[in-house]
Amino acid sequence: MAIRSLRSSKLLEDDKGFDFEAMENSIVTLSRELFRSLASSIGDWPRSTAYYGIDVIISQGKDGKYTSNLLECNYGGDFDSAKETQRQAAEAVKVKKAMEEKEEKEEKTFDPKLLEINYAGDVEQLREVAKDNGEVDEFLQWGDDLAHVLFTSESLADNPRLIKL
Amino acid sequence: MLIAGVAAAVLQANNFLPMVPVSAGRRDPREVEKESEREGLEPKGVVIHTDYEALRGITTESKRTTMPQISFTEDPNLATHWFHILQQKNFLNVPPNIILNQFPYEGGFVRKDLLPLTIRRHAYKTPGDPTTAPDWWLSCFDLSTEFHLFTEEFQRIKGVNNGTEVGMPLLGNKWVIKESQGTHSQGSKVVSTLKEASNYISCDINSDKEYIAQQLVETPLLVNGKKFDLRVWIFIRAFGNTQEDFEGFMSKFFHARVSNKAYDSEMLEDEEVFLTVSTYNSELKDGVRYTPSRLKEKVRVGEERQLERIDSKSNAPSYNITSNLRLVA
Repeated sequence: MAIRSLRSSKLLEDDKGFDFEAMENSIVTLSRELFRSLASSIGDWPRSTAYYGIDVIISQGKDGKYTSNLLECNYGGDFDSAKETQRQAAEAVKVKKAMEEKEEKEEKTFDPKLLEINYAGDVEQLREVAKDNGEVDEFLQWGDDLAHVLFTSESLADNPRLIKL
Repeated sequence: MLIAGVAAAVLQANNFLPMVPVSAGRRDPREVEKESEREGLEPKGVVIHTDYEALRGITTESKRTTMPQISFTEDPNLATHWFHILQQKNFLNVPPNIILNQFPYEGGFVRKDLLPLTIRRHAYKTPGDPTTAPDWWLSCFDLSTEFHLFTEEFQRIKGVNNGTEVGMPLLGNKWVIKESQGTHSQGSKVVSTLKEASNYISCDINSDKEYIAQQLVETPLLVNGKKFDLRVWIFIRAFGNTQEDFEGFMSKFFHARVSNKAYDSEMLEDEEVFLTVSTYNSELKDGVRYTPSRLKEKVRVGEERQLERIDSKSNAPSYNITSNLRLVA
């Protein structure tokens, strides 16, 4: 199957396996930043609780932005003496290496993007998916967790299925 | 009569005459009856009034002992919680003892045309400055009021790409036009020129539909060579005034929605390639949808195997997977 993509792109296959946890963590970060910032648009309203379905797409790579960023590695400083020049050069190499390592690390990081936020509903859809995948119990557990968040004030810090944002 | 009225108003203004409603002291007997009924029926646990049958299902089907004690009532006055899908237009009409499953002003982020404004104001490090946008935010514009901003951003990216050396990667400049109030990807189209965008949103002059433009992710992560997106569930107990007061959770149980056809960035006019959910008007069936554990299984890389049939009752076909995960970078 041929996959044509951006002009300069190439097809990569990750032979190290799919790091599901890393993907999940990237979505947690997105959700945390998103909803904590949205909080200031709502403020304190103790008479409501709610649930939302957010649509997220995972992007891989940033269309080469890493490469161009790496080239913008400029240093100030005074190159009066050879010693100073040498020191600066050594530092430059060190920083460049650190940046390259960071680039490499970032390139492997999942890059989730928010598509939209949906208001409540769609429980039927989740039930269908759970049924198709033979996980009706997990769906009912989801309902249980939802009820605990929305309808009680119990502490949920120990709930392994919920990640605190 | 007029003089008496004026005199009463003057007295009230000077706090000489307390504001006493004419009907004070005469209480509606039906209200009194309801109140005594309420006192007699001390609610046990959570009592929900809902217009959403699916909620009734998940709370009553669960045999778990951990489930909070929940009962349902047809009388909204006897409830402790309202779980309404119908949008609450006036929050002042919600009795103070009721917890509702909607927040006032949430339209500011659940509406696709208002989301960009809310994000720019509340999620940018410097409100309004696009260079301080969060990493997870895709440029997005309300085309009814911000077509000029969309044009500006489109031209900016085009300018950057024109100045990019040959062989170097380009910035993505394809955009998804979506209906502002649409669901299930209704009215979505990928455009790569401003002319296409303006033609699409003005093709039906009799229509009052409004649109947004969102930057397209051109290098999505693929499962089985197909585009997918995730529907992730966020439960909010309190937004709060401060970061400490915020109480929200992400459920680990979410699902992936996979498109029908293999991804090809040159074939985005084909909605089976580009969309991960079918539209209401389309006869196309939804693609495969996975729970997290299944997704994890399906995208295990470098393993050639035949997937089992997902559900004997469903029409989901079997798939040959040669490479389950491909990254386009």
